[in-house]
Amino acid sequence: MADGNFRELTELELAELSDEELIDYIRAARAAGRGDAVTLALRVLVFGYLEIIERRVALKVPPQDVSEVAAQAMESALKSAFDEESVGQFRSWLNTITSRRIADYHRDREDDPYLVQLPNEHEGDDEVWGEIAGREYEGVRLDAERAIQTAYGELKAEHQAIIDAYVFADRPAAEVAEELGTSEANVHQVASRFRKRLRELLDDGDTPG
Amino acid sequence: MSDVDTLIKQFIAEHESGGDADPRGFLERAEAGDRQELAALIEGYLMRAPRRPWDRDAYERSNAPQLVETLAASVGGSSGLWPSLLPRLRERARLKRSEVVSELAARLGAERERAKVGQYYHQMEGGGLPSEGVSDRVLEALAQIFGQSKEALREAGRSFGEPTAGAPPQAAFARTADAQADLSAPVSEGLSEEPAEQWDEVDRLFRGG
Repeated sequence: MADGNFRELTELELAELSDEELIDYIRAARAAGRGDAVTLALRVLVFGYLEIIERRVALKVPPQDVSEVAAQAMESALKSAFDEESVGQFRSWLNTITSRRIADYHRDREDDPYLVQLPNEHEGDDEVWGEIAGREYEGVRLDAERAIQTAYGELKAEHQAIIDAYVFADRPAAEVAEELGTSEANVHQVASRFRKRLRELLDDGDTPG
Repeated sequence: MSDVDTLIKQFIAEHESGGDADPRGFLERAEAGDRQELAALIEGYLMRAPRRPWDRDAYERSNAPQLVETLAASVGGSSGLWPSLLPRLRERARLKRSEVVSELAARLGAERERAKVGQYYHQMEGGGLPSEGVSDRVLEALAQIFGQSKEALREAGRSFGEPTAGAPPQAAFARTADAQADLSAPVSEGLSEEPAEQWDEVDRLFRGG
């Protein structure tokens, strides 16, 4: 989309664009001086992901700070995309940036007296909670994310496809089996092994750094 | 089916139907020993969840409009993320804009030029002041007021991508969430356009780099 022949799209047309196409469109609208088009496209992109980010952040950050951390993640990811840093797929980059903003949040507040000590079964046991022991909200460890990434990363590609469809997309095992050319029993077995490995990693806290 | 299986299925269903899907609520419903696993699965799901389809009504009810407003000012303006960062820092410090301006003017030794300092600060928050023109002295003063580093403020102020082509350098695109908002009121209003040789000390501090 060259500056001179920028064509404004409708909401419905924008909703059909991929993330990368939306960002290209915003960049082109900006270059063409079309602030209204920039805003409309930002609406589609921000609406599409803000709630997802907020829910991820809510797992690890006190409620009163969720919006701020989520907004920071969205802003940083968009700015990187605009700066044409090598961010690859926007979605994947957004995940990475969200994890970083959550980590920044906890790092910045290491001595914040307003963060509550967790009432949990490991209270007082710094070893269990690692470097942010007792400072994290509601008992969700930062390495829960690492555990799931590790358990998933250890799988072969075809098993990852099973986990994506059966566990994370919550589709029926029979449907997944048929689509991926395997048996229903195998779908259950792969999912069961994945969950077992996940529990091991969470119990041990030995996810590789 | 374990509680974790049921809860993750319910979470996915609620999220995908546009429901509340509060992760903390789901964690509270899980047995204490299952919470980490459920949190990891929720996080794994959210990292893969598809972009939410565009829905204008849901957008208006969401937290997105406020973020879109500041992002539009950032993308369209010349002040990077200052339109979102500075009001957020002000809010966190529980300071009114007028209080920040008074403090800033005092720290710059420009109490008599408080109104002019206020206009420039307003431009910074509105995205209309080219960040490269703002001196280290100004950023240092703001950093002290907000308890941030000067470098962090400088980095946040870096403009999005390339300079806007075809638009006046100090015009912010959309300063309201309404895509049809009046775009004719640049945040640089009220400030002189005198050549650099006629600048006073305050002009130099905010525009001279």
